[in-house]
Amino acid sequence: MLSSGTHGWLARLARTLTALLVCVHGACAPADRPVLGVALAGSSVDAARLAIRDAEAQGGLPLIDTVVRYERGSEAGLAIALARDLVATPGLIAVVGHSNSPSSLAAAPVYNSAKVLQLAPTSTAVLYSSAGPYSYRMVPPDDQQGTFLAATVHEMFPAGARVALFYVNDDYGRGLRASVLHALARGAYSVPLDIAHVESDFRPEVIAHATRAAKEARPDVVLWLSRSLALHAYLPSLRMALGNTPIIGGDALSTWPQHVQGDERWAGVQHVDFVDLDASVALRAFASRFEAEFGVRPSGADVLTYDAVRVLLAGIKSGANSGPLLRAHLRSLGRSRSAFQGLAGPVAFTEQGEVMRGHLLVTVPPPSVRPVQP
Amino acid sequence: MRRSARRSLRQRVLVLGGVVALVTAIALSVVLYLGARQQAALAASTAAVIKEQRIADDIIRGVMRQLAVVSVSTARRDSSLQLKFSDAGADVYDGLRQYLFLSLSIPERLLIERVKEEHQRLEVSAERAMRLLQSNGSSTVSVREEAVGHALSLLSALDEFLRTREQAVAALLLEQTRSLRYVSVGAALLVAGFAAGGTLLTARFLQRRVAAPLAALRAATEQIGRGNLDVRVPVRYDDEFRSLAHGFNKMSSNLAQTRADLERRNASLSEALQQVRTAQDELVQSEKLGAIGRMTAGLAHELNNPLATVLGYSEVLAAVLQDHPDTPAAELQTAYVEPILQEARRSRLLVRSLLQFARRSDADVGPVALRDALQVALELRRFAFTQSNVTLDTSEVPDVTVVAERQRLQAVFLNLMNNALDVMAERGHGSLTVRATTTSERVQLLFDDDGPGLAAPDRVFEAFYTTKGVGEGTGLGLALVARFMESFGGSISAENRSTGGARFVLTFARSSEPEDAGAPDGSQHQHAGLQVREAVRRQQVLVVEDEAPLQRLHRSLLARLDVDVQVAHSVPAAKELLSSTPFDVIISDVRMPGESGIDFYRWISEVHPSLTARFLFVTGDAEAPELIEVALGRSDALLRKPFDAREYLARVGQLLG
Repeated sequence: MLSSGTHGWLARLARTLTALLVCVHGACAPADRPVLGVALAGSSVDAARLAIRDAEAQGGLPLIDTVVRYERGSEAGLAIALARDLVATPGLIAVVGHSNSPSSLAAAPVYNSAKVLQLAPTSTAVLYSSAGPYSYRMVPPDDQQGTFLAATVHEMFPAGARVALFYVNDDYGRGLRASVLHALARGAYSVPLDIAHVESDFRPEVIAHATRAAKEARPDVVLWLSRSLALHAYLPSLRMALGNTPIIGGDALSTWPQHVQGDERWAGVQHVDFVDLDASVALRAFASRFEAEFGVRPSGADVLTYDAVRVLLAGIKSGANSGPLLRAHLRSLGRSRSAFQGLAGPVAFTEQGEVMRGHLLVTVPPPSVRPVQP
Repeated sequence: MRRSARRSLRQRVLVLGGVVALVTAIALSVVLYLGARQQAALAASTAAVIKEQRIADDIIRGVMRQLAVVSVSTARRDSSLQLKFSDAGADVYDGLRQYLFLSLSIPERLLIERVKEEHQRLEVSAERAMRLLQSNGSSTVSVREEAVGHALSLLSALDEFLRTREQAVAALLLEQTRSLRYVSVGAALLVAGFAAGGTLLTARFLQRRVAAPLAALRAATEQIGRGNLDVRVPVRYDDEFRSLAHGFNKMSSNLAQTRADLERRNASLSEALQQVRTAQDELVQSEKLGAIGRMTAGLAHELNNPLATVLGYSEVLAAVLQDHPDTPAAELQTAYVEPILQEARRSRLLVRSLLQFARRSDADVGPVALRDALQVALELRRFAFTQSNVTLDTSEVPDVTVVAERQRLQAVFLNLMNNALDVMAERGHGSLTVRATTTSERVQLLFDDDGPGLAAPDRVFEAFYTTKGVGEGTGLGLALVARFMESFGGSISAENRSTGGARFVLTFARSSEPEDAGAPDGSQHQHAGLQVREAVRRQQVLVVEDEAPLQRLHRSLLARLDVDVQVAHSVPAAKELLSSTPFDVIISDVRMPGESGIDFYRWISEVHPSLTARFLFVTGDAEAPELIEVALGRSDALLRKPFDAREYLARVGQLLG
């Protein structure tokens, strides 16, 4: 008869062997059917699905599985949990995500430690450049966007203009604010208001306080370095306090269509974007097809998501069936291979892993010309 | 196919040393590398702990500074305070960013994200509080409390994070300590293994490359020491031992060749020596026979004298017995029989001496009775000396035993006597004195004569040197004498005496052993009547003798033993008698027509072996080699003719039991 100690030892051995078998048949085995993960929010998920479907329709794509996870917030904890969930999927070689800089940054260590390629469609935080060798993105970092925003102010407003700076106090907002302030410092602009807020803290007293401060600052322009949901919460008070004072936002405002439902106050808000949906026939066709299928006009982020999925699928199609191979594929674009021709333009990466892409300033049209949301 | 590279032992030692040094260097390098790696890991862990502690300190310090700014802020707008607040916030954010890029576990990452979010909220709340104070001086207590609340949450999360990190670092340190222990044990085992391996390798190397070839060489040397020159050392191993083996084998081969040559030469020399000996024997024999020839006249006279006496007395006795038959026996005995016996014995002694001198013998050097040997020569030349008026005095020769060979010694004496006699006989008178001086080890015999002396004393021993006339001498006599003396281990020298005459000095090694029997029996027995025996039963004696007088003598003598005697004149007749009569004793002559007595003895040995113990040879040639061979071991089986009647009866009586 075995002693309890021996029995326990045998049980541990059995568990270890079982785990080894599972490992051999699962994650440790070569990815016969690579898995592509998607960790996004809103219409970007639809854009990703559309890209997969289009790629499959074109043919030549090996059998792959896709795992799609909706990101329901930008908290780091949620992003990390979602990333762990995805990485646990056998065969996962790449993830398109996450939906913003803080969540992409929080999830990046999880992917890098698992050698899963991460391609973030819209994460512009400067810190993301240091997130890890497997973390790529479809947009340039915020230091370029800050320069672009400062240049825009310089073009639109005379020297001495007053700039009210609203920023979200996270990795995105802090980084963009720093680059904007750095660029504005080179011009004769004053920043009488430099106020931070936190994501999802839309308490009335907080908004009121910010609005009051903005009114006291009497700005010529408001630079909104936060997301569209926050502006949507602040915009009524701001319009009331500042009237039609121009509001120029960062690229995070490009998702405004997800929140705005015929709000007149959004008309005229300008924001940085990377994609002009009217820039080409292909983009217009995409936008029409997307709108027809999903009932919403795609944002620039949706286009970038579409292109991100197609870039990865092209890599898989070329035989890259693991994270390291896919990474090598991305590094080869624009060098040993031709740049990938996406809807938003050619996709290639610098030695530092940054994408070369220009900035656009987009103006939110009045509700009359906006598409009707379902 | 296996190829065996030829290397020298020196090369192998160098290679082995190199391998051992390389292996030792590798082992030490591995140990040092592992130790350095562990040390680096420990240093890195320590540095990481210190760095994380510093980061945590920066974060806490930044938060405290921000809270301090908030607490000291007033309604008056103070841009320096705002700047301090921003700088402190930047420090906190920078610290958090450093944490984010560390290798963290998921719980740790979640905690640090929570710290970051709380800091973001803290900053927003703090800025709002300061802005409220500056804008309208309203109470900002709740907002400050809110900021402090975030700060406390931040510190709580940071504390939890640090505790988690401490545990992780402690686990890491524990693991590194364990690894260091494993590395130490492994290094010790590695070094011990290399040491053991190196020792075994070295021992095996020494055994295979040094001890084994040396053992093979030693074994071969021992074989050679035992005389086996065919042994060869296997030509293998390293160059040094190959060369040694080649040299050894060549030496062994040369030795074998040399020994074979020596053996051949030895055989040739032995053969030559044998030829020399044979020639020498022949020379000696011819010299002796020559001497006998030269002595024949003297010998004849020497024999004629006693024979004349015997004949004369016998005739007188016969006449007395015929004319005076009543003459008392005692008178007859004293007046006639005793002189006859005495002269007969003298004749017997002379004949025996002559036989001994003439006999061909083996040159066996051993103890010889000096005076007996001298007596033989003396007996042969006594008459010649007397006739030549030369006195011969041997009275001072003691009865000692010397190392010599009897026959050659007699030849030496005879040669010296003859030479002295030859030179002094011409003069008509002279003397030869033989005397001896003895020590415990040496005997010197001096032959002094008073002749004319030696013309060239230093040349007298040269072969073919002679002063005699042609046909009177061979010139080999004294040369042979010198050779004989050398063969005895002795020496001879010649000189002229100061008083005139020549002197020959013979030096012998003295022997403590007595000489074996062989000397001529010169004893002078007194006749005291013959034995008469009365037997319990009549025993049968067979006499085999071809000469009738001797047959009658046998019968006469045997009648005194109370036995029945049957006489056969030949061996076949004796065999025939043996087939019908059981004899107790057989007395046989040796030289007979047809089969000899020796042939008869051999036949007896096969057909009647029990009779060989009671077989008695009676012969005049007792020195015949074949007879000695047959009678080997039985000295009582031989009786020399002419024999003494007393001895004859005693010997036959012994055989009859």
